[in-house]
Amino acid sequence: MNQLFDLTALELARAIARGDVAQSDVIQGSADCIAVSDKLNCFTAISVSDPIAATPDSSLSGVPMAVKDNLCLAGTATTCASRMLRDFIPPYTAAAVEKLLCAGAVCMGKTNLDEFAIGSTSETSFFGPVKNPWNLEYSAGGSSGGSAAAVAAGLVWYALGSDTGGSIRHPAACCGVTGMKPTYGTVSRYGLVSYASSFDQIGPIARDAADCAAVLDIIRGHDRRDSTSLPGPYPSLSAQLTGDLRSVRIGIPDVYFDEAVDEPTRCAILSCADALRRRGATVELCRASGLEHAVHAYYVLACAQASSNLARYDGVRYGCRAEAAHDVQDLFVRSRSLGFGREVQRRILLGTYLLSDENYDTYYKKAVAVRHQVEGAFRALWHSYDLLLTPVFPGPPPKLGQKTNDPVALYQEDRYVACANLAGLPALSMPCGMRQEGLPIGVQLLGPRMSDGAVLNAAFAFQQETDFHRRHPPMFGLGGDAE
Amino acid sequence: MTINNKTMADLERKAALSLTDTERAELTAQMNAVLSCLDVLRTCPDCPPAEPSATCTLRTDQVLPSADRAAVLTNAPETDGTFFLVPRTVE
Repeated sequence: MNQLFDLTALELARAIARGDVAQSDVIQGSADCIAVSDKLNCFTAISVSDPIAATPDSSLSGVPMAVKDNLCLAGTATTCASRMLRDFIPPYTAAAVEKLLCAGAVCMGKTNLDEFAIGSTSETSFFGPVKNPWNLEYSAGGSSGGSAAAVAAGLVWYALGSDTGGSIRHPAACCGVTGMKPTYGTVSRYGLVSYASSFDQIGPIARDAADCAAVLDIIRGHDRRDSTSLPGPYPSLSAQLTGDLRSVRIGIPDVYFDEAVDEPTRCAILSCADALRRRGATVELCRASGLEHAVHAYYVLACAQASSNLARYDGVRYGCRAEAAHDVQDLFVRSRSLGFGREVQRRILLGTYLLSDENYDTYYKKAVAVRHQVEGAFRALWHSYDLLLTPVFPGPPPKLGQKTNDPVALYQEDRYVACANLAGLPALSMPCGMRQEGLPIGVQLLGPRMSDGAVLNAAFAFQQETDFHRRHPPMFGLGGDAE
Repeated sequence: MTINNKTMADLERKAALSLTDTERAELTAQMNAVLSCLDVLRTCPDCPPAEPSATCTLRTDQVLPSADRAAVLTNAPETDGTFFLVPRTVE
């Protein structure tokens, strides 16, 4: 394995800047790995962007990265892993991607995902499931499974994902890498294909917290093209990585540390708490009420927003168009039935049901009320704690095919992560242990809105104490050749 | 059962989707399972409307360049070079 692959994105950028390594060699090394990584199925398209000369102070200039295939890149297919958009070539580039390219990032391609980012195992992709680099029989998690697998396998140094109900944090935990969903509104959603607009947020998946902070420092900021974009200010996140946790109070909410959490996950999280204590934090179990129904509210609101957002795909302006339609309505029905996969159709139909006249008060209005209750519950917790520590999911990652026909089981596992989306909070997942079967264990840190720096600093401190983020699967830096 | 064949047919019409009989049976069962799980929300108390936590900022009303027509039409399944084309709507 080329030793370059052991470097983090920041370390690699510094090596390129010093002239220790040629940027062209780095790009070629990454391209060579990607070329033999077919068995992971983590790319929907491989296309190396032309490197742009970045400003001298750009911290990630020249570093190869990848972009989840629900983020638009002008001139490159943006499929959302759906038959519906298989041939869609956007005429514009997502704001977050544009910022990275202007900062000298080299995009190696688009990564695989659950169709329209709807799912948590990356198995609903039109292009087939993403495999976990640690064990090809397991899911890479989802929906940003391709981004997480590509980083974990050392194909790229970081990748962009999107997180609507855990879709960055879940695959990051499955694949043993670090992923962050920033505060809602801090990264422009312009150019992100919408799933559930009040939850969707773009964020990085990288090798450690420092790389995540560096990516976020580039992509954060106000954008007039996204009406939910926050005006700022946006202080440097990287500058907040001191590793000092003295006077930081961290709670482990009992509602997320229950009997559903298996023993290896429980032990790993308690060890993580000990590491954070060694850095000066106080960590304790805490009572949390008002969060019990967060995942139920999340599913009502996400399905409702999905049914509305995905109404735009009708076979007229872009996307899949069915043949032999005898009128316009028939064209809509045939094109949508042909273009959307089963899980997407299920969510659209559920959302349509939940928004119908007779069910609106029973489900939708209640879910909105629960969302406010969840925001209130978090506000109460922030009186006593600066950050919270929770599992990302309660056991091993799912085996491929294990839960595809059991939506209830899949949806229930999102309860540890979806709460952050309901309240718009920054939340990060990082590796904190290994299971006996050789799969990574993840832990989640979350904090109040706009406390992204504090969340990242706690992760940074943990990663100063431990080396889980430096552990790699056998195929790391070799594409699929080691398997 | 919350969703039956008749309800599902209505949902398909509203969502502009068409399922086969096999798909309909499978999705009906799965959606009923999900809905029985979501029924716990019925027991949650209503709460008064709260201020939204995410605020939308309205832009100033300003004319700016829009997307290039030719580039946008490139993705359309059928056009006449200026407009999107659909099956005839008026006989």
